[in-house]
Amino acid sequence: MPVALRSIFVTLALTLAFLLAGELVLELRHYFKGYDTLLLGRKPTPDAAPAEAIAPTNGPTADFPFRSPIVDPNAQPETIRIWVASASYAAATDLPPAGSFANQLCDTFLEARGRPCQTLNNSAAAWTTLDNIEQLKQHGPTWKPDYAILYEMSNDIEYYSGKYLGASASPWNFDNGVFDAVRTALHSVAEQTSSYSHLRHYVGGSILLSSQLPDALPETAIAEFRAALLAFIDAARSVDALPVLATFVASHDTATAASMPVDYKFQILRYNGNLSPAGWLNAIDRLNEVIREVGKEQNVPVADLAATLERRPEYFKDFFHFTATGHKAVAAQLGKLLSEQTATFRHGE
Amino acid sequence: MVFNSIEFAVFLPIVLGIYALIYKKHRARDVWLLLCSYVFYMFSYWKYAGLLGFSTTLDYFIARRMQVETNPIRRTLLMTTSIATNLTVLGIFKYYNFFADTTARILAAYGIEMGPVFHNLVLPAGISFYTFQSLSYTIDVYRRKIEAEPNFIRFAAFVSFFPALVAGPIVRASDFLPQLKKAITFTNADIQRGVTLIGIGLVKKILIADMLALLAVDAVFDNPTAYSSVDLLFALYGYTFQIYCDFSGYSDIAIGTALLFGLHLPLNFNSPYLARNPSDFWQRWHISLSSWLRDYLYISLGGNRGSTIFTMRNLMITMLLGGLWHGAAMHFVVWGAYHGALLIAYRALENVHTGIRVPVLAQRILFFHLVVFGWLIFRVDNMQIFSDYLAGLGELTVGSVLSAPFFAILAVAFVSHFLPSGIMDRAIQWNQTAPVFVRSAVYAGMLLTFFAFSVGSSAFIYFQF
Repeated sequence: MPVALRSIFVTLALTLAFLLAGELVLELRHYFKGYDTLLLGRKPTPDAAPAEAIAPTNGPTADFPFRSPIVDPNAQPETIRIWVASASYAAATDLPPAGSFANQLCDTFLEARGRPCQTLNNSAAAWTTLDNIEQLKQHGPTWKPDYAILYEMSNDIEYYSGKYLGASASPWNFDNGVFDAVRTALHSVAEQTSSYSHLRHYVGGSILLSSQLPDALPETAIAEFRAALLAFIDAARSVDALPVLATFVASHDTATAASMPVDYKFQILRYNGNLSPAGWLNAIDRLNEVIREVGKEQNVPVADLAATLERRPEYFKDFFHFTATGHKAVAAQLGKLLSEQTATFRHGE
Repeated sequence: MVFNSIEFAVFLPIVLGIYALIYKKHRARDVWLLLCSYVFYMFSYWKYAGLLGFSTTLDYFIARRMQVETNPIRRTLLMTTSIATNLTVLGIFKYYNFFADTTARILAAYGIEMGPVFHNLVLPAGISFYTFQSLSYTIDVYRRKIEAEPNFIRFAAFVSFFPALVAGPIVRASDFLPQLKKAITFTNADIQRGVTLIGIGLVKKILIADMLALLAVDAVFDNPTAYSSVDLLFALYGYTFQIYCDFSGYSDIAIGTALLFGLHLPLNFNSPYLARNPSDFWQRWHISLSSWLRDYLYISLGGNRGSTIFTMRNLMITMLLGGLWHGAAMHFVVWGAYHGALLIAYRALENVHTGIRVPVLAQRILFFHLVVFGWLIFRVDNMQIFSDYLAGLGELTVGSVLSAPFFAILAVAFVSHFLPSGIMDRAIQWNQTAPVFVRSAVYAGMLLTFFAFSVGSSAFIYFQF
């Protein structure tokens, strides 16, 4: 190899070593905070199952696709089964499963006292309402829930803002076989690094905060969200479950936007640079209105969490994920609604 | 594959590493370059590699036949076949929808309705570049300026050479094939120049072009009525530097990458916004295209070997087709016509002696703003937006909602355009002399910065051409 080229490869190797060292430092920081890391993995949580030999008591498992205490598909008579369709807010992977509001519903639901009550917490990070519908259609017939609660929104806003406000689709955005697979694999590795996570959050967030982003979702997106709610209601009714909607609550609303910490704004913009922080708050207000309207039109109970839990910073650990206190408050609110509505709306009794 | 991508960051060291082991064996080196260039291309859309192969094979055999053919009529027929076939393929993929739409509109004006006429074919990446590159080869062989290349692999490696494949510079066979025929030599100066150019190109693309677009340009051009005249003006300046940094950044990376392989590509930009007149501008902007249009179109039309009217006609035809080369849309044609008109006006005024001596700076400022106006035509593909933009500029409203980072980046872009070329030499010198640990740390920092700023990353603008 010529000397001039050899020096390039030496420089490249050292450059990679520097990058790797930086990544390791950031990963250590992430690891001790309990996050997933690419090279070091994830620090075991205190409640994690100690050994393979002991059967897990909580899902998800191959046979039980819910982040809840494992139950048999065939429920005993009189059992109340509550399906929670949500995303990271209910998955709450930073807490033990019992910490999620979804798994506290049976404690707050008066009707459930003295009767077997089971929660099917069908929630995972990044799921949208459309994903929730697919899940309910796929697993609902097997698990036969009595109630199907939908608590979802931020991923929908990301999805619709990407679809309607994002850059127009690249002309090269089509199936390109093995080349797509290679590209996806490389991007996947890069995006799992802590370096990417930090840079995307702080640098990407700062850039997007300085850019000219729209302050509202277009009406076509609102209409699509409404259609998704109706589809969820249909999916719940098709498995004889009572659909229940909930408005979305975040740490700040349009009135308190000025006091929103910049870190929360970075969080909003981290994976989606198509809508401004103000646009997010406006979208939440607008979509919550849609949820209330659809609830009224379809005679479906609506837990108006936005009306009762907003402006309570102690309930939030970031823009839309709950603290342990927040989970309790949400569970109490949802349980209260279920208790009020059962006499009128409950099916299958 | 785009240069500002993770896949290219992985692809380049692998390709270069193996190349460094085999570069002395000509056949193996040419095969390797060809193979890697096709892999590079297939990352855009693998199915279109067939088109590239078709164009290459056709021109190879036609040129070989032309080389031995003595009958002038047959030679002309062969060249016409090459031009017609290449332009037909280009026309089908790039211009069919445009002409079908234009025809449908004209017929509709006379009350004749056409049925569905559009196709859904995706424009093959770089088709305009490699078609022109291949065509220049057959025309040069026809004109007996060069000999037909006997080695198919070498010829195919020239047409598909990956650094210049999808967005130029448009390389002439007379410049490139001789480099492949002789032994490759690597000099430390070339290698460091290559690395520096890649770094500069990435800075231009990711930190300037994409940021200008993200921070203001795209939003302002999407909805000009929402902004003051001041913001409209600065967004237009922003686009002026965005398109320059985007395209010249790509060229820098292409030229720098080629240098790592011991190969030289032609200069494509030379501080175009320092031009004093239209003629000067086209010798500084997208030089490989403008010289192609001059050598293979303008001169073929007769150039300036005739009356003034004849020359003006040739200028206008050349610029109209140059505009159309950029894309199948009316605004590109109008942009070409605008530059054609500027060239014609300049020709007409060039010999008028008024006795007034306009300072060079004033000439540059005036012509810069004429170019900026041209970019407004180029960028806006909708008459409503164009008239809104012009009306907004004319309202002379003040105030700005654009962010400080946008103005800062615009200022950096503006100042860097006027920096003396010695800066580049100093950067190369630093690359040659700085301790390897320091260099590596700086490169690592730059890579992380590019990675972070890729939030606004997009394909290079000229990919669509």
